[in-house]
Amino acid sequence: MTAQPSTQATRPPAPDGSTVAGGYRRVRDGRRWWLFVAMAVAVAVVLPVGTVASSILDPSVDVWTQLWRTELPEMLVTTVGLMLATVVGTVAVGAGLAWLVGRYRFPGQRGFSWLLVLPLAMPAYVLGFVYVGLLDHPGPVQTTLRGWFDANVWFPTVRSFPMAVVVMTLALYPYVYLLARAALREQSATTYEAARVLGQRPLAAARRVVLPMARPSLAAGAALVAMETLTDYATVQYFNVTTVSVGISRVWNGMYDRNAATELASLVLLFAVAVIAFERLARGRARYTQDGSGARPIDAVRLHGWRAWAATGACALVVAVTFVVPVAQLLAWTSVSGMRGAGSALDPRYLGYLGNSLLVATAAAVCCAVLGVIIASATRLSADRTTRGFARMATIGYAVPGPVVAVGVLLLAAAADAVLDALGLPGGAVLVTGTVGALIYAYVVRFLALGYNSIDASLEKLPPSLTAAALTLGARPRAVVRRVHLPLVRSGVGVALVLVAVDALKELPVVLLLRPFGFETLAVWVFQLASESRWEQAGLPALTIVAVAVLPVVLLFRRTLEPKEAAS
Amino acid sequence: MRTRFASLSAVTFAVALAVSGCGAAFGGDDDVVRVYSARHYDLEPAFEQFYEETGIEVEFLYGSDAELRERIKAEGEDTLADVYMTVDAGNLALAAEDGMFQPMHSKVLDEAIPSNLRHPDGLWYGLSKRARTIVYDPDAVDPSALSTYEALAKPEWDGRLCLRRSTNVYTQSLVASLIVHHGEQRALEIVSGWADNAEIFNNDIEILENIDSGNCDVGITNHYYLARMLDDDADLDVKIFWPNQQGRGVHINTSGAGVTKNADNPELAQQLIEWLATDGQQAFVAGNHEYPANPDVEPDDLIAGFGDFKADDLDAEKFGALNAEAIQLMAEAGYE
Amino acid sequence: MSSAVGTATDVVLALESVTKSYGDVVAVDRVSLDVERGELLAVLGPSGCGKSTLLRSVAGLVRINGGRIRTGGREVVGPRTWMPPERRSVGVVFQDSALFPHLSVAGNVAFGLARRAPDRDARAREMLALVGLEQMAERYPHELSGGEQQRVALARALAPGPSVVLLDEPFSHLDRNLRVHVREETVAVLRAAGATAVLVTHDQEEALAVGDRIAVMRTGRIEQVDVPTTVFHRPMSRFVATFMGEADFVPGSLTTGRARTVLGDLPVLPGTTAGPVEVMVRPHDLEVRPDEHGPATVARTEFRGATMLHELRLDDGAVLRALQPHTAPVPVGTRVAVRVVGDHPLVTFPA
Repeated sequence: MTAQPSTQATRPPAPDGSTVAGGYRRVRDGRRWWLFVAMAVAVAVVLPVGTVASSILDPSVDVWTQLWRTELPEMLVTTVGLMLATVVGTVAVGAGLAWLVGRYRFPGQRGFSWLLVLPLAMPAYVLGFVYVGLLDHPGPVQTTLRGWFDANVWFPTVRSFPMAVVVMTLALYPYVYLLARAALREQSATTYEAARVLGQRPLAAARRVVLPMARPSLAAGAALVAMETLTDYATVQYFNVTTVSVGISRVWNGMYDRNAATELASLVLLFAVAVIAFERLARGRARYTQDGSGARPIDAVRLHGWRAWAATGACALVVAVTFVVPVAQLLAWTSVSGMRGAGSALDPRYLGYLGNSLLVATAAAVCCAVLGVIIASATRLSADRTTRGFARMATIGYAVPGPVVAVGVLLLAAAADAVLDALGLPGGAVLVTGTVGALIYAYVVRFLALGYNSIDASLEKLPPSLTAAALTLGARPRAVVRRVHLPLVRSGVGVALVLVAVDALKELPVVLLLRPFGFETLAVWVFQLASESRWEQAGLPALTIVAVAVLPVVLLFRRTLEPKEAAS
Repeated sequence: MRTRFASLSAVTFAVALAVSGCGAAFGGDDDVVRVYSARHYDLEPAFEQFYEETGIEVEFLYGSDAELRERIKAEGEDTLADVYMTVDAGNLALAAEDGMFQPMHSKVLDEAIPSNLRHPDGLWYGLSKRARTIVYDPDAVDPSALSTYEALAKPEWDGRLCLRRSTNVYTQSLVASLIVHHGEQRALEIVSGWADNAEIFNNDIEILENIDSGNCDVGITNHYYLARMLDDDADLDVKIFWPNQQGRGVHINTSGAGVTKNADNPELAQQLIEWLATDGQQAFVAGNHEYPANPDVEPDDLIAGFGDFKADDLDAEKFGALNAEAIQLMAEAGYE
Repeated sequence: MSSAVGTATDVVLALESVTKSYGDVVAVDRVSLDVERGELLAVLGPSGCGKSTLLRSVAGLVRINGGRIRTGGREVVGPRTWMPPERRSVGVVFQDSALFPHLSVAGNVAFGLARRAPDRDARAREMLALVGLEQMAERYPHELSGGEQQRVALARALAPGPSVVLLDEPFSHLDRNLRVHVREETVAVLRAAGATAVLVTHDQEEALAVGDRIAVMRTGRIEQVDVPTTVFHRPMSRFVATFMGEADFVPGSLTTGRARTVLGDLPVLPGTTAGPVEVMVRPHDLEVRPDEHGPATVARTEFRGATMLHELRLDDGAVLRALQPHTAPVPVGTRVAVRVVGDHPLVTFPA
């Protein structure tokens, strides 16, 4: 068979980028574009953070000594404690539920598989104020208990560290659950079966094979949780827990000392570096390459009798506590506030704010997913350290508290304005006053890690030879991404989109500082009402955030998280 | 497919650009006053009434104090803000100190607002008064046992006192006023006593609810939170007490406004503030049960029912400047 | 343009002093090689010898530190040139086949073909027919057997008509029986396509069976490149000698054309200078028969089907191996005489 002649026709035409010079064929290397994008993104992310962090060069000694003498030591202990406790809690709950739902069959298991993601739509600060309201002394729970027993019935302290850990765990476990679930789904049955035939009982096999193989995903989930805990300053305050981030908001809102706030923020950055280092360590040097899409997933085991109902009960309890009860409480508040006044559905501002929220969240999610794919692919296309270094730089924003990012962006905008003024060009005012562009920029800085990590984790599971094969078949880097990476990491991209969109929808400090004049979002509105204790009026917008966030969560995860039927 | 990939990113940027364009469009109009407000209570009815009476439109942006000030500073000459409005004397004082305001030379305002509720050079004017006072559970506390803020530091109130978090500007201003009256040493003793006795809450509503439910016996809150709750539930088991009537009087705080230095429409801005201090006073305070700053305007019936009281006429400017010290003092005293 | 030179000598792949090091570890050490059009070169070496790195360097998956590589007459790597893999016109068949799991067999094969090419489908079908899998076109990779996957990978690599096809231990994942079968098929397909190919393997039998020429690598260097018979019969080093097959060495001293050893005066190849030498003897070169006065004892025997391997201990302690027809076994412990059969000259190495 003469295959050779027909080849010439199908071979892609020689790229025009190549030129002949001095006997050498100099070819424009497509990777430079990727390296350049990775570098540009890394610089764009680091710039605002660095601008703010550089203020540490001029430390306000007074503030430091004062802080160290009074609150700082306790703050540090609290921060570390809260982070560790929440990580342990979320990994236990998240990985446990993922295993339960992924490995066993029991009544309602298919539904719970995605219902368990719902708390992702519930901002931690909403969960916090709902539970303070419910469990507080005047709240319905204690009031009922007092009715049953006597006025001095014992009840755990609501505003306390343990309760903060519980609420943070309930609000954040879906991050671990999602990633653990994906890791389990993509694991091939063969390794698990290998462990079983090597004499391991099911749980031991899970512990010795499935768990270590899911370790990168668990580490990624734990890192997300740690970062969220680190930068939260709204939720913990409901429980009188003073972390470093709370300290930042204190010196910021109280002492109006941007330097001190920034310096405290650099402390948070230190923690963040520790978290990232931990994640790398936990991920280890091992490469976990298993061809997930084709592999047969681990067979599910049907549970019977009380075990089945215990499993159902456990899932139902988690869904109830993290979602059903808070939603019911918000509904109750909404019905109290009724249809009048601020926060009611008839309020003309309502739809506008809703639209703004959706717009910002969507734009941020798409930007983060696109950049996440580009950077994650760039590290695969040119396996040099530079690109990977840029990728790491590009993801530091998630460890930086929102206000720091926002102030950084604002400072940059002011600098850009100065440049524009110097050049005699108009438009500076708009820059400084805040544009949705600046807001989305800040969101990308802040949430790129979220998008990148989920995409990178998916990509990590592809054998490196797939990329090599595509390249040697003549696919340019861009085509490799489009034709090989994207189709195979679709679930990772989906996760990235949803995580970023939901986070952006719930996000508060950045939008408070950077939104353009008159540009309000639901989160801002909820915050304004909540900061004035107008819970009833905050009910509807809070409920709306939850409802809007629930939609993509359900649409996406319902499809991807329902147990995959064993192929063949 | 390639085009789809490219167009996706293109659309994203287009959307971002279009929307930033929308943001910019706010800069165009002339008959508009733009207010940066850290006061979250329903301002819309007052602004709507102003528009009906004058034809001048009001646009406003909510934010926290520090954020809005940072923003006005960062915006510099390009700022869109004509008016900076906020809820605490401390914030107004800081803004004045930072040179964010321009003086208003207004006879109307000088006549309408008492001198202790305004900046000596007319940089800002107070528009309403809030009393930060003592509230108690009538089932657990005999009002005769109550006297002053300072007395709540005594050990007899151990486990009975409920206070608001130190991050709150109202708490800070109250402590700042203690520093002004007693000096740092004595103020530290008082605040330490409070911290030992108190359970700390996130906001005044929580304190009032916990008094109502019997968890707390006594607390310190702004008067209008009680008024607001009484609006919803007249049978609320909480009573108000005016402290320090034998001495300096109840701690009063101000919400007020000033015209920004780089305002595009300083005349309109001043007109708005003048209106809020006079014809608009009722509309401005009524929605939130505040006491009018203008003595010619009567408070609403509900808060009038709280009775008359002697107010601490300490210069808002004075204790407003002490917020940072107040925070440090509370940190030292172990007040969360 | 340099392609003129390439055509003249018909060298499709040329490596010139290619070097690749990772820190202090030199994986590929100044390797020079030419592969001619239609040739199938087997690169053979133990694991870790740098043969895979060499292959990846040619594909552009590894950036070399020095040297030049030309494919199809174009320089793809040189001191001032680096062409990314997608521009090199090099097909690769990976060890794990690396089929795209989200694409059908046809989709995989068509992957490297221009998307708007009118004959894209036809070409893909043609390649599938070449590997005998046209009826599998709509299947997905996970529905294929290991051998079929490797054949699809081969079709995919050939489809764009690369100047050279690189095969990286493509049969090592397959079981032994299947391996020989798939190997034969692969060679047939490569021949049918007229492809120039480089196959990397650690299996000398595979290299001997497949390669038009064999390049033996050791610690990053090429020890010998030649046709299989030469590499087997005239290894240029003891390493090549032992790596290509069972070989033992008998000490001796060289005089003109013959070496005096315990096995007698043996004919040797010219090349080694006079003096003490070691003469390479392969088991099939030796014949034993019981002889009480012989120089060796049978220490062990091993049944190999048609033949029987006899391990012989010489009196000086050296060990030789000899293959005997299974019809003429000599029991263990028997004193034997050893004779070199045939009359071909033997390879010697300086002692």
